[in-house]
Amino acid sequence: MISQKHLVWLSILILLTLLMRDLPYVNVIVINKMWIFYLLILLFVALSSIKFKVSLVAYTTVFMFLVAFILTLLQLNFFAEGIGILIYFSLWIILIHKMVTFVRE
Amino acid sequence: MNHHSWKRIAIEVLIIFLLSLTPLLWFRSGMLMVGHDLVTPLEPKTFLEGRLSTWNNQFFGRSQVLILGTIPIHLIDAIPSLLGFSLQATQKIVYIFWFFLIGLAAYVLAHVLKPRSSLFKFIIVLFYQFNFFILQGWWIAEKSKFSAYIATPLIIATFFLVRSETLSVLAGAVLNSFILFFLNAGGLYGMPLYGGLFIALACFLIFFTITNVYVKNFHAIRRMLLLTAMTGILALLMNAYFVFPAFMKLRTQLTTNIAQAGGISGIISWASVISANTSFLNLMRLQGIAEWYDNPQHPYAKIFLSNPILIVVSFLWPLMIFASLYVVRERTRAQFVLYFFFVYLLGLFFSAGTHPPLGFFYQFLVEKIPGFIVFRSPYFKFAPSLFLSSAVLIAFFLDSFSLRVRKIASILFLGVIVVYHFPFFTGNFFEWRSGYSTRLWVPAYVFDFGKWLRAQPSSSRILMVPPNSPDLDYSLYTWGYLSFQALPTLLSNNSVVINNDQLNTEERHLVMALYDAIATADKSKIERLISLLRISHIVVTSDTNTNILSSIPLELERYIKGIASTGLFEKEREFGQWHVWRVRQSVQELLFAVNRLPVIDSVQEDSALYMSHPVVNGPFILRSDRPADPHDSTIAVVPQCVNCFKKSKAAVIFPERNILPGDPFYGLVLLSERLRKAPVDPKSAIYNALGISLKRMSEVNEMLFAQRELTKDIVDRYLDLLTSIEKNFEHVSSPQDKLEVAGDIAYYLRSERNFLRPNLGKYLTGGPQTVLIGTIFTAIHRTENVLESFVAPLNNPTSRLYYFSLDTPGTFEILLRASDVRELKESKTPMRITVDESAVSEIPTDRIAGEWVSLGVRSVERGFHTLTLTLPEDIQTSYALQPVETEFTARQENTCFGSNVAPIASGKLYKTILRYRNDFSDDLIFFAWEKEWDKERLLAAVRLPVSPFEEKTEEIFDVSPQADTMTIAVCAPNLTNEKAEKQFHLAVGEAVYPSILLTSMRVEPIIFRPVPYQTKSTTRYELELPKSTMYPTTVVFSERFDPWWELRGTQAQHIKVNGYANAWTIERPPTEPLVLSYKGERFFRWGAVISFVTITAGMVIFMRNWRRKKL
Repeated sequence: MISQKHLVWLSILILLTLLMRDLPYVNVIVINKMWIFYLLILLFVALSSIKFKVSLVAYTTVFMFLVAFILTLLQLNFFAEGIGILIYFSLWIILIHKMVTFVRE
Repeated sequence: MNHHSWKRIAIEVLIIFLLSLTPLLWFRSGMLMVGHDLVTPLEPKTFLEGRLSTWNNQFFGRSQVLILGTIPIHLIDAIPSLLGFSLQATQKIVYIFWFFLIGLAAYVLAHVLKPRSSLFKFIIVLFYQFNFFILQGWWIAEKSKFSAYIATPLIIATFFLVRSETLSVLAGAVLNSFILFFLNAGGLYGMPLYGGLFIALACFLIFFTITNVYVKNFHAIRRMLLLTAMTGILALLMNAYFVFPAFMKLRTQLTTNIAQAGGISGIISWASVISANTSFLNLMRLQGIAEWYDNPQHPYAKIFLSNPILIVVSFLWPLMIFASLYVVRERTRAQFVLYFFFVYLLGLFFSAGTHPPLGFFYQFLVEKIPGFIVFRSPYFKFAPSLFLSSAVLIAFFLDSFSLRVRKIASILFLGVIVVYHFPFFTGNFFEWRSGYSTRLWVPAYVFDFGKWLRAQPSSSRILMVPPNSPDLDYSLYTWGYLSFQALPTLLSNNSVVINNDQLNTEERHLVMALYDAIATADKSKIERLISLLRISHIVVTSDTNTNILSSIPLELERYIKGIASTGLFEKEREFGQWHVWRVRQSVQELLFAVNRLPVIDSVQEDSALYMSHPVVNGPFILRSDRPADPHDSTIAVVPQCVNCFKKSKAAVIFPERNILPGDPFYGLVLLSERLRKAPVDPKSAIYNALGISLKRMSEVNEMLFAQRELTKDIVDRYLDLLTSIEKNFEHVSSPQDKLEVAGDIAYYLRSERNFLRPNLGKYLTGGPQTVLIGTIFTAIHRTENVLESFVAPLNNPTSRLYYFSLDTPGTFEILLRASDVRELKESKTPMRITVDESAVSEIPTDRIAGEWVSLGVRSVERGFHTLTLTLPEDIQTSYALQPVETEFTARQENTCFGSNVAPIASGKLYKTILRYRNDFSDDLIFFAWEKEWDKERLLAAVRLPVSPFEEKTEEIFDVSPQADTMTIAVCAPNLTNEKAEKQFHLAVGEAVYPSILLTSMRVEPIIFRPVPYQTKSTTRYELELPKSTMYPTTVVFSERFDPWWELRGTQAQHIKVNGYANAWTIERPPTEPLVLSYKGERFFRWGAVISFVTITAGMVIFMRNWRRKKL
């Protein structure tokens, strides 16, 4: 589960994002990219809430490849590319984890 | 390494060589690779000779300082030819050479990673040689791309060797710099092609720094950093022959180059086009090339995007790459896998460019990181990192199996690579568009012409006819050649001129004027222009495809008639469909002297105008090219028209305001405005204030809409801006600036008033709020009154206001170009010309005949002058609005009323004036379409705001050459017949903007004197002024103006003459021999010396290392 400390920090971050909506220039520059920020918060909360294992991300990635493949065969390229974005971020998670493990070993 | 190892390597290299014979499948009997962006010389020796100098005579002469780095590539192109091979055999050898080098480079890296596994090495080699990224390069044989692509694995291999201490840092750096010397990606313009290498190196440094920091191996980190720095320095020194001159040139040109590319926003737009399909998934499938998706005639893309089996194979790549992370266990190899996976992921990000979701970050890098703009085609610059890492990771994946499985899987995989990339073997990828290919049968007469051209003196200059379409700029021949590269430039270094992207703006105007003169058979104008441009021959190419979009006539017959009927040319030679005509009159020498240089005061765009008058009969200087000089006398002036609007003014957009006065953050808005540096000069300050006034007006409007209370402070902020505009306007010193700025202020203020006015009677009916708004309207009106005297002449529909300045007084004849006012001939009212508000003369319209209409003679003092031409009437025809069917009425959502306007003539401007009272709809839209046969094209859509008063909207249209009708209509959901009849008045007419020319009544003759000279090279001439020369004198050198041309041996002022050429004014007889030289050549030689010294030192270091067995 997410800790109290993390919860406070997340609340502050979310509050800040709300304030950004009314901050001159910031509202124009970053507001349409804010979804990435919210997505990361969501991921953080979701991943904190489950007993996390990187191997889970690996299996999910393979599964996402499969889904993207089927969607491409069905010519639903837009959705397949959406899955591709998730795959890309998953690959980063896996790489960073692997690198950390490698260095520690 | 033992004897067996060497033998195995030799066999492996031999197999790679055999694979590299693939290009032999592409050549057909007698066919050559040429066209599009494929710069393959048709006469390699001559082409190489041309590239060995910093100046080339092609076109009007051009500097090659920035493309000296292409010398190694063109040397490779020329070597087989120098050895006596035929042109096709030369091309075959060159293609095989590059193909082999790609494989060899991948082999070297593979050998460093895993020396004992042949299959491992072949997987990497095959994948690196056969993929769609590199196939896209083979289509136009992008040797610069190949060069960088080959360098990437070689440099990475060296880094690995230094890291493992197989090589010393110094030896590694020397080796790298040799690689970057031979494989320099075509020099300066090819630098971005190293994008993939930069990623791989950045990953290398990051990855191995992290791992070494953890084990506290700082020695290794230091070695890596030292190797990187030394590689950079040595590579720069070895390439000094092109880096040094380019650096000297670019010190002043960088800003101009960015501006030419359309500024940062233009570069981002281009990157977005390239990145349109570079989604992460497409890139993981090793696809995403823009051409695959936007060219419906792409030779092979469609099958790869739709065939299920090929889609299955495309998903194999990312799966194997992903799996490599898990199946490779051994520590050293796992380290390699992690490193290349890092390269892979970063390569994906950069290759995706501006594509969502992370494209915004790439855009940020382009905007904020100095120099990053060079990566304007992200995919093509960074994809090598993707393909290299993919090749290595897949090889590691397959290599992880047990020996038996590995062999079967690897052989199977090698088969899949070859079969999947079948377009490599079918060779159909050259036909990129129906009827056009980069593999062609070049007609024999083209080579015959080339032979003739090479035999001409280097000072000759040949014009190609017909011109290229100015809308497309490329050469197009019926036998399938399409390219921006003028064909004769592949055959000879002599000057051949055609309108394409090699001409600068000034040259283009003059050349287009000459084409126009030939098309209209204007003998005297042709004479003047061929003398000015030093044209000695014309080559008529009958195989040019003229059936294309063009804003000028391209019909061959028209040009042939112009050439034959004037008697200025005689046919000299015929080469199949290419006929050469020689200019009968003697051609002006490359170097000559004149006693005086008359001044023409005009912008370059009007060259066709002043060149059509006999007063311009020799060299001249444009006023803008030199400050006032008492020796010069002005012979012609082209006054600039202030109110001849060539296009409609852009609609004023009011920025949306989220934070309004009274909001907690509003103070920050004002603070940030105050902190921003305000312009100092009055003109810029006015435009700055106008920009802010739009924000203030938008805030007021939002507040009224939200029913929030306006305060005096809010209104005063706007009024202060108007006061500042008025004050700054007083300080605008230049009269022409005053006229232009006054027009713009008036336009903005009118837009602001119209923006605010709908609130009256709606949110404002009385009380203090209405009083406050009233003060805004009053202030706008007051400012308008201040500007009235400047704006009134601009708004008069029948008068055209011109201005000009004179440095010396003179008497001028005022001439009007007759063709511009021919439509007014029927009018009974005379035209009137007024100079500085005193009428000069009235001219009856029946005197409109011939080429020029004289409007009288007038003595004009030094200084600024205005000239007003009052036309008899505004030639506008009224059109009644009838119900019309448009695409907007299809669903009964709108009713449209309009009218057809016909006939319309191409090349003319049309002005529509719609007077209307819109008190009924927020969705009333003014539309204009042009019709060309059965095609209809929407030209304009302008929303007409609601207002209780009558308003006017004016639109100007430049119709397409083939259009014959225009349809003008207004559409709204509740527009009725009655309203269309009573509340609208439409008038359309030709926009008459007559050109005026003032010619001096006192023109002194120009005395020409030949200047004997010796051509030492294209960059050096030795000349001698005759003893009889009277001083001051001007020596004219009819090559493109370049500040690096210098005349040594005397004190001389370098100036631009004839709008494009070089000249020097010499005040007194020279005391030393005169040498005309191009400074770039000197920098080139110094650079070459640095290169030579570094290479020699590098070789010595390398040999010493070799002897000490440190390798």
